[in-house]
Amino acid sequence: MQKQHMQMRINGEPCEFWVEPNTLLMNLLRNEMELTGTKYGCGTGQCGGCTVLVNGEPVLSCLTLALAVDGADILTIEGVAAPDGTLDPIQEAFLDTAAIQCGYCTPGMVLMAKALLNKNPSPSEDQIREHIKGNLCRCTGYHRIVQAIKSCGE
Amino acid sequence: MVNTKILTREFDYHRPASLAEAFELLAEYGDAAKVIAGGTDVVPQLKYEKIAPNHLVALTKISGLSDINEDSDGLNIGACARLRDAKQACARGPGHAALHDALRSIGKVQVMNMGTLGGNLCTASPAADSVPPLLVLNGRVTLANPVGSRTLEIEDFITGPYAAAMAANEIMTEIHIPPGPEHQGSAFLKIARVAADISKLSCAVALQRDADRCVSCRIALGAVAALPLRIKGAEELLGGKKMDATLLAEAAASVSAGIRPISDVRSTETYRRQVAAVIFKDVFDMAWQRAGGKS
Repeated sequence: MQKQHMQMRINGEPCEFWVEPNTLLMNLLRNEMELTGTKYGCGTGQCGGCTVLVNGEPVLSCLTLALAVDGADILTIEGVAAPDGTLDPIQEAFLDTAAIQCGYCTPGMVLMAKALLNKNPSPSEDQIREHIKGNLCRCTGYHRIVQAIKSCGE
Repeated sequence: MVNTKILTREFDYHRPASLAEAFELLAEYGDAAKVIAGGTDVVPQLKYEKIAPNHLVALTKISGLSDINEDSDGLNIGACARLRDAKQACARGPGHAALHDALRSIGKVQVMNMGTLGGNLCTASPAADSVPPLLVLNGRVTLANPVGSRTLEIEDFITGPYAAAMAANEIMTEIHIPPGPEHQGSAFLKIARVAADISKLSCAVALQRDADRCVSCRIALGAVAALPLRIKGAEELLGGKKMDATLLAEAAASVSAGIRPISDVRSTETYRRQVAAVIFKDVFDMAWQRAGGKS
């Protein structure tokens, strides 16, 4: 198994790596970059906890080989707030709506919301539910999460 | 227990820039090579040790493989086109409604961004949602090889559970859907436990309608046998007939009898037989309405 060179922009920062081909994007982010906001849930593409944005589109980092996103622009939950710590309006909305309980699904949910609102600034409740159907929450309940995303609509 | 957090399998990763280069890699590594596109099937298969390749050949750098275009000959979808893009292409015309329904239901946003239509077909799952619509819409696939290519009907391409008529030196390059006849309507529905889940049962219908007469009809079901099935008995029952509730009920009974379901982790044989008749009627109605004329 030969290591290969790759580069990515992670939360705006250019990064270079030599990775083993069986390295998953999730583990590169968590282990090499110590960006542990990206969560390991099921590892089989069912829960959405490992969602990150690749070139603005949500993907499952637990099923993505790091080498497959060579050259891509990656956004993780750590890159959502401004560098000075000012929260993104979506994060503020999750706090205001109490759309967080244990917090494990939250990074994925926030990134899903970000991808949706970038394309559709005022999504309907149905559109929100359709968009987050692949992200499982087992404690807060979806109601407040949907409310939080809806409150960000224009 | 498999540790799904990591990939334990060790392999080399190749990113050929052309089909010719990909064929060279496949020739060099033979059975030790596995082609990968979006990875939504291949990576879980690697995690569960269902496959054990020493070389992964990624098709993502090969230009042209994800192109989508439509002309008078029909709709051509590159094998590496993302499910998301294939869905958008099918939304443009009424001719591909069944495939559009199927792609809308296939999975979560993330999987639609990652997975490819060619990958869904090459995995050849008995529950693959794209297969029943392609069966009723006369879909064909193009398989390229080092010296040329050949075209196969979907029906001849899927040969069994997770088995396709594809040689080790072939790569799927395109999926083709011919333009349907006039007054065609098609539809697809599936039963699954929750949204974005694998089908317990799926059904697609394409029909040609002349006022209250069903000129012709194609019916296919997924997750009801070792491979997605056409139900030709029911198709013949309806072809050329004036439609009424009795005839539709007869066809539904024929669909229910014509499938060969098993009981598995997702559903039971009894349930699948019962729900097949119900879902078929709903899908037929949707296709019938879409075909226009008076209902």
